[in-house]
This record gives sequence, structure tokens and C-alpha cells, in this order.
Amino acid sequence: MIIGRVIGNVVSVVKDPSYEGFKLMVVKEMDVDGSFAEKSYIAADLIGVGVDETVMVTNGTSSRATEETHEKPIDSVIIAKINKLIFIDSEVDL
Amino acid sequence: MNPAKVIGKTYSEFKNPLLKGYGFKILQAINVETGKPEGRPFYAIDPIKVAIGELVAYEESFQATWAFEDHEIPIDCAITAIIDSLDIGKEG
Repeated sequence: MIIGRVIGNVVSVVKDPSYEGFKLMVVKEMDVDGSFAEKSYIAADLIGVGVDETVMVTNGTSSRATEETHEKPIDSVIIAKINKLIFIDSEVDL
Repeated sequence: MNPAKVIGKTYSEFKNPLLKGYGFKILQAINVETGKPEGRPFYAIDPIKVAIGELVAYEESFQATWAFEDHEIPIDCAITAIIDSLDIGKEG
């Protein structure tokens, strides 16, 4: 899994019918110190998140291991909101 | 499976209902021979409840879902064992 910030959502009129009912969000990957990495993803939103929230994203085959995404052309899903990273001697608020 | 050190955990207020009861840990892969960190830290779900600082084995990709009963869980990295000790280059 990766952690990233939701930086926008996708507007699409013509799309695969199996995408109906999903919100597609643009997620920019983050490092453990809270700084941004290069990569960004389009991920299907399974929990209902908004722009500017920090989320955890699952990639690959595992993202189809839910009832909603089973046998659909999806390989990136948002599975949780992340508020904080806790290390032994420090904390990072996201 | 690969060895990694648990360096932290995440605090999450809201998760997919399939993930209820499980926490996420932050892992750092290590080279078992030198003990040095390798690559960037990453995140894994923790079904066996490990502590920060422990050496663990993790499973990546779709196989990680097999750590859960019906495989119906959208995760791609799971902690599967706590490593108590490693014997390298020794027999028995």
C-alpha cells in the first residue's frame, strides 16, 4: 500500500460501465516524512474521501478483492483515511 | 516473504469496513546479512499484532490477501510472521 494526498477528482462522461457508482480521485504519493513523491495515481474511492485528505491506496490485483471491485478494470483503490504516522520517537500529522 | 523492521504505525480514523480491527504498520526492509535498511519505508496491514521495533516477515502483492480467511480484503502487503532470530551460514 502507499499513502498519498487526494489532489483532485476525475470527471468522465464516457467510461467503462463498470465504473458507474465509483468516484475516481487523483492521489499524489507521499513519503513517510509527509513530503510528496513524484508519482500520482487515479484511484477508485471505496470509502468516500474529499480533496486534501490523506489516504491509503492499494494497488494491483489486491484492489479487486472486494465485492464492489470484483472483476472490474480497477487496479487502484482508496481503502482508508490516514490522520497520523507514529514512529518510536516522533509523530507526523498528515 | 521478506524480512523487514517495524519502524512505526499509522493512526487512521476511518477505514473500509473490511479492514475493521486491523492496524497498519510502517516497515523498513533490511538486508539480513548486514542489517542495513534497503529502499524506502512502506506500509503493511498487521493481522498478528506486532510491536514497533520488531523484525517481521511480510508478504506483498495479491498473496497478502491469503493471510485472511476469505481473501476478501483490499490490501497488498501483510505482516505474516515475527522473526525471533535468524541463523545465517550455520547448520542446525
